[in-house]
Amino acid sequence: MTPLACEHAALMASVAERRDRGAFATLFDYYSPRLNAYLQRLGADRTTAEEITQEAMVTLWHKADLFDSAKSSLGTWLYRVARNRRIDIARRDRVDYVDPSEYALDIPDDQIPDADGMIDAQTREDVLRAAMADLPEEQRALVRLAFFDSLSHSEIAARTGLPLGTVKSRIRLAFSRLRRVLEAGGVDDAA
Amino acid sequence: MSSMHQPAHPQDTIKPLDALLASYCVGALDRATHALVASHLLLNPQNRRFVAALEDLAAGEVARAAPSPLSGRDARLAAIFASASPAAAPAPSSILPAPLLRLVGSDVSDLKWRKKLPGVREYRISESERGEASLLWIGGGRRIPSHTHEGSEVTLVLQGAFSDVTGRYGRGDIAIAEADLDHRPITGEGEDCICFAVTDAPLHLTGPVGRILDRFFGRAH
Repeated sequence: MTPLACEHAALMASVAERRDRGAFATLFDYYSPRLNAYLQRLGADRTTAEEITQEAMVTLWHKADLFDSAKSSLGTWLYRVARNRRIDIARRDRVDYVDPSEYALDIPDDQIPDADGMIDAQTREDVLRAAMADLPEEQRALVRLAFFDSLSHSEIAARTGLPLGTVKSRIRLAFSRLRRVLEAGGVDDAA
Repeated sequence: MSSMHQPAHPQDTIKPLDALLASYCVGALDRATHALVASHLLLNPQNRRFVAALEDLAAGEVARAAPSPLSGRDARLAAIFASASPAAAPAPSSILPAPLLRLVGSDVSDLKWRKKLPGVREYRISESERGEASLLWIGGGRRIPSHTHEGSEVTLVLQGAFSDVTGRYGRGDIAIAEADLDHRPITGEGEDCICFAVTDAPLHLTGPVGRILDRFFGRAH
């Protein structure tokens, strides 16, 4: 874990165990401006981005005890909560909120294949970024739109003017390749 | 990984599922397909590692974003501390994992199923010009009439199993049928098969019987 991730995990433990408002405010001040910016980059208007961010923070406050630093980083945990909420909000489904326990946020270690051989999150991220940089340009451009801009394949086809079938097949090639690189990287690292 | 029971595709290195998982990770799927993939991850561990890695990568983008503070920070914090703890999600049923239960609204035994074809019942969850999401309840050992799709069809098996030319799928497995795949899925003997299917365009039955059935069932809307 990076020093920042360690610090955040410790703050989160304080929130879970002691309902520590000061610790929560520190996490709020770190994560909420970044989530808000990210959501706006994906196309949410300011009001919606702030609303999703606030709801993710409400979840963080009330469900802090569901977070387990051995299973994911707080950044990733919070990211999943916000992502799921964004999908609900897009459908005007206002009656529910995202319960982190509903999603695979909290996966028992023994159910992760090859748990012993897992490389840490930072290494995985580096492996994936390097593999993305290695993709042929025609795939890399589409992966950017699909992954970093969170566009659907139809939206990408409309934006680039490429046929939908071409978009799908290039993106499939790219992600199958990323997966192979990741799995090969994991094996090497575990050896 | 020896535990992979992914169907053996002719070009087995390209799995449409990997791209679907990537779209899930970044929230680019419609609500029904998002719930389908979330349910797959809960039921079947084989893709969790890949998904977790992509989610770490997406979360890394959040960490890299230039901060844009929320308006009214102190009031927001006060509102959070004053908020009531949200109610817990309903417990998943033995058939429907939590994300699907939330999407559908009630368990399979409480739904009004409609007969779609002999031996096939359907509960339509949502429908739009972009496609539809349905639960399908198919008797054991039944062959679904040969059909193709205008778009692609993503299916999650919730109970029982089915097979087609691309492989065999059991509880928790996702099958992806492309627009051009003319398939005749057959369900496993002995147990009814319950599936959740999302298509991005209406399906078309093919073959002589299919074309007649299609006129009555498939394209009535």
